[in-house]
Amino acid sequence: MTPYLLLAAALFCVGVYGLLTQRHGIGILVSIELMVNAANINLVTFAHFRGGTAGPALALFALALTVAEVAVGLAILLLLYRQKGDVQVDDAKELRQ
Amino acid sequence: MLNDLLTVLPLTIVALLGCFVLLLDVLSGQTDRRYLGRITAAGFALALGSVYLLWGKTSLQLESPIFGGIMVLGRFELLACAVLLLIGLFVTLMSIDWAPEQGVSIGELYALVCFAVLGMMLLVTATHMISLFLGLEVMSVAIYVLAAFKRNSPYAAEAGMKYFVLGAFGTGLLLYGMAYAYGATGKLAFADVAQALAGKEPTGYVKLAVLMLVAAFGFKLALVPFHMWTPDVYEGAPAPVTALMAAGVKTAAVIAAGRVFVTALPPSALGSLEPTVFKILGVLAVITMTAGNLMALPQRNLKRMLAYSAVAHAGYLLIGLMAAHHVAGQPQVGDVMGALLVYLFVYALANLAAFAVVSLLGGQSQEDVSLDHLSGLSGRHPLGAAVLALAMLSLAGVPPTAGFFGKLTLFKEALRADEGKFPWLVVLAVLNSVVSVFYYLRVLVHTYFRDALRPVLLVRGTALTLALGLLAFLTLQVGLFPSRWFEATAQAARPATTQVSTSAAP
Repeated sequence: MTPYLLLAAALFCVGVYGLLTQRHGIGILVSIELMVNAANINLVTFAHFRGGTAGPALALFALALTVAEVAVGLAILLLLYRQKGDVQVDDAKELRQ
Repeated sequence: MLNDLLTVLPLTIVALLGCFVLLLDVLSGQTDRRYLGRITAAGFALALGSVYLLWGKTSLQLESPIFGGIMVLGRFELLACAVLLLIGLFVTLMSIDWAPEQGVSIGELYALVCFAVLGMMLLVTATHMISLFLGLEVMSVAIYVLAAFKRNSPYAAEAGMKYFVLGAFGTGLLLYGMAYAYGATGKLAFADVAQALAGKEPTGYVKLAVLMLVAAFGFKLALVPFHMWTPDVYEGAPAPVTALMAAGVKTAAVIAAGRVFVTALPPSALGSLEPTVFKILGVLAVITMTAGNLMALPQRNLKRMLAYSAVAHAGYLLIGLMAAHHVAGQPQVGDVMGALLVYLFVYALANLAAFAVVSLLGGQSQEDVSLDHLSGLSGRHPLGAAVLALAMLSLAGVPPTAGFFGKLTLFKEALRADEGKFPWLVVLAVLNSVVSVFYYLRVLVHTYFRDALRPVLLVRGTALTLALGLLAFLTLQVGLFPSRWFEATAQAARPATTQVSTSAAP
């Protein structure tokens, strides 16, 4: 079980790192997907080695819902692109810090 | 099964209302879409009516878990749903006159408000990780869109993007935490998780799960290290949407966090981890309220000031959550949850009132309403000025407004939960409220004692006036007759949160 959990943890850390450092909009979306799918791997791993169906059920919900989430994120990026001609999140600095 | 379907009637109504409004929007063609707002308001009123109907139905066995234990809609949850529906109603009322001036697509606005409120209601009724996640996502996705709703505004995309990135980060943490809670117990229903953990030494899985869940709720509640998005999103999003975020998201997230830390991770399940969790939450509460108040002090932009005030209030609410967690499993938890809900209601009223006034000032489709815009408001719109004053006094916690009473009960219940652990937190909270009076009263000074500096176009309309009047009435009503409200809420909360449901869910 441990290798799978380690893989998931590694993916999760890559996702968190990406989210904190990426300035490109698409990179941020990819990082979010990595984080969520790391959690999904965990859920399926635990269910596989310990039995039970609740974990994969939650993973299925998570898959569908994050697809919706990322689709909305992409739409917001598109709006950003139309306004600024770029998807560098750094450029979005109109609001006072 | 039929009973279950009947019990979720308020949720069904709101879900259908959202779809119905979308459908009407498509069918409307070129006609004026203002009537959609009135339909939405009527729909929310209908859903409130259904809550009232369910309240009286004893045959439904309200307190028992429904749909195989994934959710419960007892009296406490009904009250929480009623608060959320009221928030939806007020947001709709303040949008009716505001939206046509802004050039936004009206049909989608109301449909998204419905879906966001539906997500919040799912969130407060959830007793299972899956329904919690579902509710959170339904709410969040709708609000991401709403935050970026004014597509012609230069701030919209930025506000939406910031809220999306940090919200999605919170979602990722939450899911990862849930996965480890599942790994530690093999269960996802809250009560089963608590049962599986009870009496055992917490493993690394449990520690990781608790840490992730605290951080995830930290993002949703805007606790201090996780609050970075709040001011920008509050400022950039349209005023009615900000009202929905400030009032609705906070209510739903606090109740959901309370449920997780009372039924899934009570002190008995955390074992030797409990003192550490208590310390972490205590430190979070202190820095949240202190930093929130200190950062609110220099703000001249009304929306940013309210954003930092929301952060500060999250700190006070966290004290209530800690108290609820502390007494989990005892009958007293009902009183604490009741106090939390009353506080949330009162806070929602004040915020809705403040943002209703902001949308009143948004006549030139401006998003930055500064204190200068408020100058002389008492002359040009006496009702708006009075409601804003009432809201500010309520947020500051000055009697006889509702806010004073909300703070009083919350802090009293926190002290009652444990005499030994909470006094220093409550003392700090009270000191913080004193500091906050400064920036709330400054708004009053500008409204009443300064002459108008710039011409501001006011949005006028009957719906907005109605919303302002109702909010003022409710704020005073709760403030003047507090015991009635608190007794009803505590009564409702007592059976709901003490019963430990044994669920049949996988």
